[in-house]
Amino acid sequence: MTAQDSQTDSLSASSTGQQESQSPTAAEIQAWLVSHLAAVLEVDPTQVDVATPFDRYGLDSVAAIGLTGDLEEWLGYDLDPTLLYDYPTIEAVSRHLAEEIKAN
Amino acid sequence: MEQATIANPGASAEAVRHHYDVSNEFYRLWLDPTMSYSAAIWEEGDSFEAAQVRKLDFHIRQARAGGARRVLDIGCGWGPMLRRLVETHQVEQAVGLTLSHNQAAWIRSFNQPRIEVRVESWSDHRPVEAYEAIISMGAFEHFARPNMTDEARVEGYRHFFRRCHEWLKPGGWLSLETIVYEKARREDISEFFITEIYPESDLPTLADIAKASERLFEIVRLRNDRDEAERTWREWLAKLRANRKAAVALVGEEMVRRYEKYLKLSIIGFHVANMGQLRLAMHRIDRPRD
Repeated sequence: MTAQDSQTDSLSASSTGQQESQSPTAAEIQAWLVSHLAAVLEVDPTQVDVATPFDRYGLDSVAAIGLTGDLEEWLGYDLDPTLLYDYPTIEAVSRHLAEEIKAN
Repeated sequence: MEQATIANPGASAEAVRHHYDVSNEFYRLWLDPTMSYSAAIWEEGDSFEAAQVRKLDFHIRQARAGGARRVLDIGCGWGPMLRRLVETHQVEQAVGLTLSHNQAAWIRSFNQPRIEVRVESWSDHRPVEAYEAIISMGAFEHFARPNMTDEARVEGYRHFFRRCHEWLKPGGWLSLETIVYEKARREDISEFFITEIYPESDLPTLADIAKASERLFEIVRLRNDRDEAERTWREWLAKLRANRKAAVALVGEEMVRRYEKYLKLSIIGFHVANMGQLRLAMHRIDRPRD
């Protein structure tokens, strides 16, 4: 089971994404990103380190907007295309998004 | 004017049309009301449209084009500069060059007798008489092809500057705006840009421009407004997102996705300084030594 599946199960989110359900926490966003990046890189999720910058994983700008786009779909709202450049690790971006969601 | 025919060193007319001839209505959904398709210049309180008009006025001032008899706009897009020149800055005749039939049709619909739009490349242009000023915004990006040697690229650009020099009256100014490579090298640029967005086109560096214009034009002022380019591309993405349904109805889901991807990659490119946004004031050297 991926992090996305467990997220959907536990929160009973609608198919349109997260906006109609309870807002995800930093830990949940982090889990989603770990499993998603692992799938993109075709590695085991245990090999994805949340403190390692995205570019060290060889993520170029096309891959970055792909990942941001998938995250948008999961969260159910538009994200800044430069998000992964301003918050260049899984840890940083998860914390940032959780704070942003809380603030709104 | 007498001039030898040269092979155009940049993107072919067909390649340029690939991007600009998608659909005027589609571009209308995400450009500002003036249909400017290059970076704006903001001052506090400016709307997007006001910032685009400010940018037009900036180039008109920089090219000393106000009140001129004849002004040339190379790569005139949907004609916002041509209109501004004749309707606000008392220019007698504004000549615009584009390779896009859709853009030319759009400009002809203004029914403005002081505007002449021509579907031709700068390399085919044969003006009947000289210009007081030349403006070019967001066209130079198409004046070289990928995989050219550095020498061939600079030589191609030099042909362009030579032409501008021939067409300008003594003491005339060229106001040039172009995206350039900054941190990125050619090989860093995504294939997506070359295959799907700007076929047959490659960006210059500042050094290319300086080298290619040496002894023809004096570079009097230079601005790098990378942050304003980023902001402009963000405005376009936001408008496209807001009008997404209408855009999909016009050009289809795949095309809209392609443009979203292009806008996002450009925003990142400016944001991380892979690309810069140059604006140059270039003064004709009247007695060049070449």
